Amino acid sequence: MGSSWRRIIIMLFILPILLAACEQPLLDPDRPVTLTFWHVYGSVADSPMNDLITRFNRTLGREKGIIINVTSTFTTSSIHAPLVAAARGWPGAGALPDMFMAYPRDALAVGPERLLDWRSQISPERLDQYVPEFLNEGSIDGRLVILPVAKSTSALFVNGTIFEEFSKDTGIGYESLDTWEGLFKTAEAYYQWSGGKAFFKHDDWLHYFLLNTVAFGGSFLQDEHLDLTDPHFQKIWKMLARAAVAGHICLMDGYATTAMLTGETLCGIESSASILYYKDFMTLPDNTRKPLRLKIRPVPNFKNAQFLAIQRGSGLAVCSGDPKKEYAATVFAEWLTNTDINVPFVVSAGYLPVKIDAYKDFMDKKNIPINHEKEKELYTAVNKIYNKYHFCIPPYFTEYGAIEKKFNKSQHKILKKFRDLYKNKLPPENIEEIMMSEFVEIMK
Amino acid sequence: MCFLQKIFAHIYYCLYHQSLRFRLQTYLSLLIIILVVCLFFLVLFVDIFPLPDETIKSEIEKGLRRYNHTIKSYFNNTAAHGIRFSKMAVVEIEKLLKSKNISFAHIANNQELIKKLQCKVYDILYRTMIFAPCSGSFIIFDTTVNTNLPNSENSRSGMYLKLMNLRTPTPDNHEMVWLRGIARIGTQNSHFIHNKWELEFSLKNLPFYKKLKDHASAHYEESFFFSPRIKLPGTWETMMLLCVPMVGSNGEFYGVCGLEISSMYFKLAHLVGNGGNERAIGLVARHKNGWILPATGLESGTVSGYYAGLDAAPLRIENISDGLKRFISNASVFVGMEIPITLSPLFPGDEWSIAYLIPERDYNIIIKNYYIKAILSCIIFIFIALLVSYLLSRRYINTLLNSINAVKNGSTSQTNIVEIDSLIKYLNNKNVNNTHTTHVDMSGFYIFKDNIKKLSPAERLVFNLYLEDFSSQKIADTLCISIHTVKSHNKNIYAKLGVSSRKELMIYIKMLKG
Repeated sequence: MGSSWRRIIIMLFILPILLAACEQPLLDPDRPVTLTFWHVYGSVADSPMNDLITRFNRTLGREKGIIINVTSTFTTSSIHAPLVAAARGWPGAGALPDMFMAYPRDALAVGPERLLDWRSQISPERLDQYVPEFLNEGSIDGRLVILPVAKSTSALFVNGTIFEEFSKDTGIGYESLDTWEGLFKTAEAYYQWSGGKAFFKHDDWLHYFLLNTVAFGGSFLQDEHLDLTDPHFQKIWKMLARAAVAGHICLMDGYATTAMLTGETLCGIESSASILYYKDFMTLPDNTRKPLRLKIRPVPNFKNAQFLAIQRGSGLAVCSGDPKKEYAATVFAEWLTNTDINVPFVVSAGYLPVKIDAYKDFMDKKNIPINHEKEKELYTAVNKIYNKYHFCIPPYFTEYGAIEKKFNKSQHKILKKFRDLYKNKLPPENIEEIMMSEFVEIMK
Repeated sequence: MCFLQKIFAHIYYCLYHQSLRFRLQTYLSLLIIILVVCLFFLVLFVDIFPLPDETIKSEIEKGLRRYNHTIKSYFNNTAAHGIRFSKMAVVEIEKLLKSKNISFAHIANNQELIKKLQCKVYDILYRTMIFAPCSGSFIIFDTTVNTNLPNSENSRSGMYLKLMNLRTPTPDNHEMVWLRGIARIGTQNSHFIHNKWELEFSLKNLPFYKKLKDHASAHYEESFFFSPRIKLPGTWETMMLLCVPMVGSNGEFYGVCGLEISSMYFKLAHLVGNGGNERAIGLVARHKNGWILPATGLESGTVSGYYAGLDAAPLRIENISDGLKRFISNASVFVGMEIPITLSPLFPGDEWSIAYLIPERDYNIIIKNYYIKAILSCIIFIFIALLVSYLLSRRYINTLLNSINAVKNGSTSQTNIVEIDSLIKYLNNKNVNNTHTTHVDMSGFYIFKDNIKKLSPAERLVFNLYLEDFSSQKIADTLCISIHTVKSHNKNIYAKLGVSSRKELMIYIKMLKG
């Protein structure tokens, strides 16, 4: 056999091997890759995130071969348990999704080592476009496991329609809500004025204590444990306990939004993202409706204490392992955080953008695509917060979720129990101490 | 002359005067091509191997059978839970009416009684929610808390409890949200109030309520109804509702209760098996005049596959072949099968279908890939066969040529090819015979020798030059005569010397020289 033939035959064997070894494109529009996704935006409302996902699937997703399949939606507080259940393979839990929105505490519970390090997918130049503090918040053990998508803070939502009637009668204005001392006094006045109605509801009492003890220079959380003996905590507790027993605080289950929409209370401290759930009216027990004009203000602070506000907002985490899915998730994440897409989304959902240029615009009140009066209210308040307050990021460690749940549940239980007990009679002078000792007992 | 004959004639012409190797290679190649063509026709007409559209059809048929079985059982089971819910709720309502000694009409405008009614029925609502395969349960009483409000005729008291999310393996009360009903009852039972909570149901969002009321009867097994898919106002959620009328023992209509099957719940609960196509979609939807209306029903796919879901646009049905159909909308085209299903015995004209679909693009890709694979396989087969035929013919003919060369060179050794060895043997024998013949004809040699003197001087001159081993042409050149003259002399020489050929002449000359 001639040497030329020998060469041809050898080439015929080698060629397919070489072809196979050549790098294949990761995505194929004819064989799209599906990413299952759990998110927390508008779980029980019209979800702007679902709209965005539909848009992505029909545009860039179709072009690249990526389908985002939302297989569940949650609230930020309710996503933790299903994630833990899925990560640990508990009965009935099913599999972890390919992507999910998470707080650092959720990432810790799932196991950060199971999550994609975004630095392996996104170049440093591109990561430099994100607000550095937001990136730091998503870094665990030097790995960026949570990519910021939108950030929120807390604000005071007030039923302006009723408050202005109250203000007219009592002379107490919105400025009384700038401090906690003023707010508790206003709550007392409102209780009298309304014939026994609670004035306000707080969505997360743990945040109330965390922020305000730090604002006083104390430290309520030490070595991953709550320090209930902290003198600042005791001071803050006393005011709250007394107001709760007196009926000034709304102790209804659920979110402040609901309490306000059912006319149970007049204002609430909750996430800026709550704006998504507000309607223009409240419904009373006889099914009549009253208008609800929303006024939004920065969260109050205690006199002589530092101005502190919470900064939070879940980010995008990806269960790593499949290079194709990791790449597809990165395409989606970069699309989602692109300013053109990100800004309208965050405004509709009550958040802040995560890239430096858009974030600066928000702080300078520029280029905010506001469509509704309540959005204008929110971003005016948020702007005040960002210009006057320092930000505090909730701590995260493996047991933080459990501590938060236990604290809020116990707190609610104690306040409700003593309110029910002294609804129709005068409480003893040292009621707050009795409540505190019982609370400490429960928390042990 | 027919086409085939022309081809064969052409091949024969091409092969004429060609080497053995070329001929053998061509015949082998022809054989291969004929075999491939025969195989192709066998595949096409004799149905030895199934064609891709048959395979896809069979997969779709299997998928549809499985999906149909699952979905029918599911809807039956859900209806059974709904009927039980209705019967139990009626008992509770009548207990309350009896204890208060009032008729159902007395409940309207009475906040206290409505609260009591809701409290009494809450347990049934809750238990149904827990045990039924659904994402929510609801009860609508045919009454309202405030008839003085505008549009009160469209407002109905009731309760609606639903799962907040579908991924919590063991949901507690906090994971069930209170969508309709007295908020206090919800919070007292540790349910979060849904952000889109309202006190009462708006019948504007439930257009089928009136129809149900008009057709309601205590024969629950024949009077339940699965609504077309509706959107939960103010949310992104869509769902079908199982509605069962509540009719009292006196025939009075108390309202409607039922279960919610959200699109998400259905999608997660009824994954289409991955056996067939990764993008297969199962669909339960209304069927109307040759159209399927996906917006009215529910669908599911494979979660980890690349199922993208259907658009809401109606699908026009076209037959492809024997059960296999094309489902066409403005945005997309699917291939699949469908069978009718009865969901609501209350309205027999309400036609529903269960369909199992794959995108037509996938269907075409499968078929295209099959043919590409088949053509590539044929090309590879032909290429390998031609290569093998080349190598075989080369090896075969080389042996033959080597043997011929050996014979040319006078070798008498064995070639191990029976036919060649036989040929060599034959030729050797012939040579021996020739030698033997020369020996026997010595008398001819003597005649030859004696007759030399009979040659003319010119013939003698030519003969002498033959003695010196001159060729005819050289003799012509030496003697300056034409070759024809030499040939003429030769003829005379042969005649006079008694030889019949040049070869015989040369043998005698050789013998003469000794």
